[in-house]
Amino acid sequence: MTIRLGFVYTIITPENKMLLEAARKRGIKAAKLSDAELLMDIGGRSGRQGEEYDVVLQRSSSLARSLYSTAYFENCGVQVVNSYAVQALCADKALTTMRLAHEGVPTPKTMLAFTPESAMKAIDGLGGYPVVMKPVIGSWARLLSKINDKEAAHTVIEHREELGSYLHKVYYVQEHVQKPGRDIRAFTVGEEVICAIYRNAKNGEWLTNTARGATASNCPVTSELREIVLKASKAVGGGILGVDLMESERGLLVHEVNHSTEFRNSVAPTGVDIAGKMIDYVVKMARK
Amino acid sequence: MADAECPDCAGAVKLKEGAEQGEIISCPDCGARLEIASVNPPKVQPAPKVEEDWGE
Repeated sequence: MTIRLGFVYTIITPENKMLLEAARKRGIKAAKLSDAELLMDIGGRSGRQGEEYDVVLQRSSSLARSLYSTAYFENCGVQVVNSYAVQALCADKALTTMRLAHEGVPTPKTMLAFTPESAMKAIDGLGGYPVVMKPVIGSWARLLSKINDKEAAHTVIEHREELGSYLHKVYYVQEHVQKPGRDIRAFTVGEEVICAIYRNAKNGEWLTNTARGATASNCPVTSELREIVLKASKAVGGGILGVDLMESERGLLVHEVNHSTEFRNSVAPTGVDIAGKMIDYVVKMARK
Repeated sequence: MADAECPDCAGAVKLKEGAEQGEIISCPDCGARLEIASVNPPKVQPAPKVEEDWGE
C-alpha cells in the first residue's frame, strides 16, 4: 500500500534527489512542494492542503521556510518529519545544549551571555583560552570563531555587536575541545543509529564540516556511540537526525544535532542506503 | 532533445540523463549557478541565492 508523501524543498540537493529516488523505488510518487511556490492560507479553515498527504517530509534548505511550512502542515493535521518542535530546538544551539545537558547527554562546557562585558566573563568562566564562539542560529560553520586570546575575543565581540541581526548579540561560548583532527556525525532514524562517519579535517584546519573541506570515512557504531547518540536523539524529540560528537579526554561529547542532515558524502564510506532507511521511516510515520 | 539556454551567457546547457527539476547545475560555458526549471522542455533559470538561514 503506497502513501501520499509531500516533499518540501528549496532546491533538489543530492540528498533530496536520493530521497526522491528511494521513494520511487518503493512505489511512492512524492508530491514535490517547492517552498518558493507554497501559498498557505493560515488565516482560515480553507486551504487544508495538508489533508492531501499522509505525511510530509521537510527538506527545505531555509530554516525560516522550514519552520513556517512545517507549522502550517501540522496545523492542517498532517504529520511532518521532522516535527516543528524538533526543528525549532535543533536549529538553536543554545536550546539544544540546554536540552542535552538537562537530559544527561555529555556536552562541551558552554556559557551564554548577552553583552560584551558578560561575554568576556563567560569566556573566563570556561577556564581560559582558546574558546569557541558560535552563532546560536547557523549552519555549515558560518561565523564560527576559534578565539585564541583576549585580544581576539574583544575583536570578535566587537564585530558581532556591529552585525545586523539581534541574534548575533547572543553570545554562545564553548570550551575548545582538543579533537583528534576529526569529529563524528551519526545518523539516526527513529530509534536506530543507521551509520556514522568520521569527518576528517583538512590539514591544519580546526573545522570539521564537510562544507569546509573535511572528508568522510566510516565510523563504527560502537555500543558506547549508539547509547549516547540515541540518548541525544530522544532528548531533542527524535526523528531523522545528524548527531555531531567530539572525542575528548573525558569521552564522547555531543555538540550539535542537525534536523535536516546532509548525507551525500556518507553513503559511499558507510555502505548504508541512508536515503532508503529515511524513506522507510517516513512511511512508518505515515501509518501511525 | 534540445539543450537549455543559460540566462547569463546564452550558452547551451545540456541536461544529464535523470536530471530532476529543482536541481542545481553549472553552466559549462560561464560557470553560472543554475536551477533546472523544467526537464521537458529543458529550461534553466538562475539558482536561488544561498541565504543566511540555509543549512542542515
